[in-house]
Amino acid sequence: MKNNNGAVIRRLTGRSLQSNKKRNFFIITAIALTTLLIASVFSIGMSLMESMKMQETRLMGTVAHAAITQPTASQMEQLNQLNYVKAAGTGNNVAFVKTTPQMGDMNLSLHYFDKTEWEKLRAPAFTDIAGSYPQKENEIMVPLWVLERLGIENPSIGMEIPLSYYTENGNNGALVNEVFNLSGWFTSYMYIRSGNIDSILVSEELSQEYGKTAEANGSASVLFDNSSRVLEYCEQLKLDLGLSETQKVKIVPAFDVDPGDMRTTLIALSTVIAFLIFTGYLLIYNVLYISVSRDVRFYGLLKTLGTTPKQIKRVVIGQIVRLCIIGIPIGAAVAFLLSFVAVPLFLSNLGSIATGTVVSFSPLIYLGAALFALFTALLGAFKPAKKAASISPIEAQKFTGIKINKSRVYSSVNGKPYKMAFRNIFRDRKRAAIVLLSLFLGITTFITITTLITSMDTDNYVASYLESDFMLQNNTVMVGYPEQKFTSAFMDTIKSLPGFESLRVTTLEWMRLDYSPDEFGEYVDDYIKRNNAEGLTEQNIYDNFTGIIAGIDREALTELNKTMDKPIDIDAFERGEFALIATNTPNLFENVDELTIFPMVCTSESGMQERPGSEPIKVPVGGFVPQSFGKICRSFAPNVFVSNTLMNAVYGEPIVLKLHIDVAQGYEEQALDTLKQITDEVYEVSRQSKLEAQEELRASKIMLYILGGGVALILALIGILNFVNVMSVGIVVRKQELATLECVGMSRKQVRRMLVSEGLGYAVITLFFVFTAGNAITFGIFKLFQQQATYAIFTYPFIPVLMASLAVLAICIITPENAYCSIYKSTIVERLREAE
Amino acid sequence: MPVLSTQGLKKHYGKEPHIVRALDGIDIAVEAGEFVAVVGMSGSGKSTLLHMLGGLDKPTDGKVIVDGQELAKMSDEQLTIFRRRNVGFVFQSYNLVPILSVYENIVLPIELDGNTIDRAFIDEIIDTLGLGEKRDNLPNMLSGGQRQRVAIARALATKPSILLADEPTGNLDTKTSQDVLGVLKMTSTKFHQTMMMITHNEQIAQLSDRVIHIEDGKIVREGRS
Repeated sequence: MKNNNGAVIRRLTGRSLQSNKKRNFFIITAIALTTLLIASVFSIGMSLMESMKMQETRLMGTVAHAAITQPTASQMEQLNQLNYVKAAGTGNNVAFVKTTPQMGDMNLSLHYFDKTEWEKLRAPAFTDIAGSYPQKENEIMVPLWVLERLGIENPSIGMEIPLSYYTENGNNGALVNEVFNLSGWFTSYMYIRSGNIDSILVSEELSQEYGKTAEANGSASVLFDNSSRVLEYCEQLKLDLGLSETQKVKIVPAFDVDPGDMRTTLIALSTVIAFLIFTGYLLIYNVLYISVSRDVRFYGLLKTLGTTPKQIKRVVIGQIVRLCIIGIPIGAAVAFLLSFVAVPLFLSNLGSIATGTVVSFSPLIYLGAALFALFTALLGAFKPAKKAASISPIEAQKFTGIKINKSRVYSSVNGKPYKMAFRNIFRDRKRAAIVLLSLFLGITTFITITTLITSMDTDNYVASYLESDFMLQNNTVMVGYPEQKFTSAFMDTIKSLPGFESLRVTTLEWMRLDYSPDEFGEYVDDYIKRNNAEGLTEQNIYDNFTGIIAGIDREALTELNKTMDKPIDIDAFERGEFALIATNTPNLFENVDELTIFPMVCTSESGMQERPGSEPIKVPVGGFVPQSFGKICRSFAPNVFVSNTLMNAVYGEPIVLKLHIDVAQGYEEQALDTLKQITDEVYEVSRQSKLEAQEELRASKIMLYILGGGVALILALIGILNFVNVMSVGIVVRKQELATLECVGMSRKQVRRMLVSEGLGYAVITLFFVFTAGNAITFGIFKLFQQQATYAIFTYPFIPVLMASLAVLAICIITPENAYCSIYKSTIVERLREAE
Repeated sequence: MPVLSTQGLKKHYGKEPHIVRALDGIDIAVEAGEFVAVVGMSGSGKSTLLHMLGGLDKPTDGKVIVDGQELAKMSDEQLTIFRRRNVGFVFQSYNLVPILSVYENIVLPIELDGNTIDRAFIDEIIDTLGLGEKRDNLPNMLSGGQRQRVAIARALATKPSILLADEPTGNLDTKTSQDVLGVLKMTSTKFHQTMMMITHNEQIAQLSDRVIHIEDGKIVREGRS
């Protein structure tokens, strides 16, 4: 026969809860903190994923999955019929904007999108869209960054913008000068990825005027109904549309995801969650276990009266579930509020998101966190529940809540309060271990996080990628319209900078290397393989074996020489006796002893040509430098480095690409101010400075401090809560014992000294482990971290550690004081009688 | 001169009309070496009397004089120190300190006072009470009777002016009770120790030199046994 005893169990559960207010507070706090931490981890994870996804879309400039080149009208019709195609639009190129030197390094085209393409596929990848898509022939819609380069800070609808453009590629076709009206603008992110390639949008009318169509000059972009089946659908498309041989289906690169990366992230996330669950578990378990121990008589009584072990378990588990109902929403709500502030901060400080962040409020975050927190709580409740259920009613009657594991002692306390305190700490070894572990984990996490953050040496980090205090670069070289920006007059200004110490010049010109298969065969084969550039004849190679020749100063090599197996003879280099080839695989050049260099010139009008009036020179190969040396882009022929002396001899006045400027210590700020004045308005010149880079880093370091410190503090708080609970409960349970001590003549001062010594004992033991094992762990984690962040220098956070230690000591002293005061509210006689 | 005496001792709880007169004018005098039993029903006020005599509680009115000193005039701190030098307690529930060994429990009051231990005397007590083998054990390894003997030894250790025992056999079976009472009686004689024992059991009280009967906070009868 089944009887319904749910009601009485519920009542017992409820009453139990009511009588344990302090314990409830601890458990609710533990649950809320666990929920908060897990939800924050989830929230950051989800937001990061969504932000990265959004970033991909924005950098691609489209939400489409794939594009089909030169689609015919009938193919478009078919495309729109296909059931797996959600949307398809077309766009085509109309013209190529002639970049003025003022606009600097950029590559702009005039582009037309049809209605679907713009509204459904393009606009979602842009932000801050203002105005409307161009309708009239003379209307344009311009990305904001382009407007800025044009010198327009405050655009308005209808304002006039003059542009020059070529109607065909390669500066062919007619050059048209036209004054457009601005019909709208938007923030585009494409240029970040593509290296300043972007489009100005124009009307259908203009496109038609020049006879441009999608079939001839454009492509169709396609959005499928399922982003995980893009590859499959692309194959399907080829069959369904009957694409011609010249037509291609291109997948938008954002959808090639690396599963390896995802796995590492997943493992890292699981580790963090497991750690959070463990710390939460330690607290909840301990609090409940102590509570059950205190209520042994209550559970024993229940058993005497006929409550089954199963029902007692239900009473204990039921309490924790009810506390979860309070704790989890609190934690989730705090996490929700925090995510408005903390998540964007965290994401923007990761540095990998350049296109704005989204904060995810997916219900999955809170559902997941709630489940994990509930799991933690139940895990913590399970053993105490089992214990409550297994209590023998007879033993329970005699139970005093005082547990001793030992039977004999081998040392003497001599009535010294601190010695008694030490024995008290290890009265219940398991409990002592949990409290110590909990405190230890909390403090160690705190120290580890602060160590990692303080170890992120900003100066060292900046020095690892910036060679000099300041670097100025002439951007006209990169666009292909080289123009001497750093004239000798400019150099003189630089040399008169406050505190000026040294100036290093990198010059750059074009050259053609005399190609022969015997010498460069291996290199060219390798190049062709890497770049899928098949079908080149020997003549093609010979004609196009052009590349960059750069002139450098001797100082540029001094640093490099330190890391080289075969150091370069700098004096001979300086005299122009040999050239260096930039490569990571010098064995490809085994047969190259000497380079025959034909000086070339590259202009916007006529492209690459032999430099008029110059003779080829022969230079021996004197060594190799790494491919990335000097951070100069690469061409077909390998990059060649010679001394500036030689450059000047061959090219007369070569274009200066970069200036590396060092100033005396203490003058950085003044020099920066002066440089700002010289270069701020000049778009063709870009500037990098250690000072600015450091400031930027410092700001993000502070943010990391706040966020990392926050997490560490919460974990430390869990450890401390655990201690506070154990300590204060421990004292309350011993109320009668302490009263006895007073009866036999322990003065209050002595009782207090004993209790405070107990707290201090916990603190000292914890700190001992923190400073030995904990520091070893911190150092180990730092070593792992350093493999990723090579610029990190181990810096022990003495001040935070000192503060944390003092805080631990203070709490360990205050807690017993407090508990002591609370029991002294009742008189010794009352306390003596209480247990009887 | 009596070692212990009270004059018009009163202890009232609450206020009129709900006043509880736990003790209502008690006058006792105990001579040195005397073994006195106080007998009364549950709620008669006998425990309250013991607390007053031991300086654990303060009287509403009247005086408690132990060894010529009046307890009511002392501060808490002074009382504690007075207790550890002059009063020994034996409780029904033993009240041993669980983290201390038998020996440590016994000498605790002496050590708390910072005195050197009279080892010969302590050894004599331990031998007399038959605790020699259990010296280094923790209380959780002892039987009820043994625990109470440790409590008695602890009470004797400081050679107190008076030993107060509150239902010392309340938690013990008959045989063990006899045993413990025998020990009390024997030590009283052997160490010439003044003792006052509280009990509700007439038979046990008969072991003492003198029995005082209390009812409703008043002495109703007194006589030599």
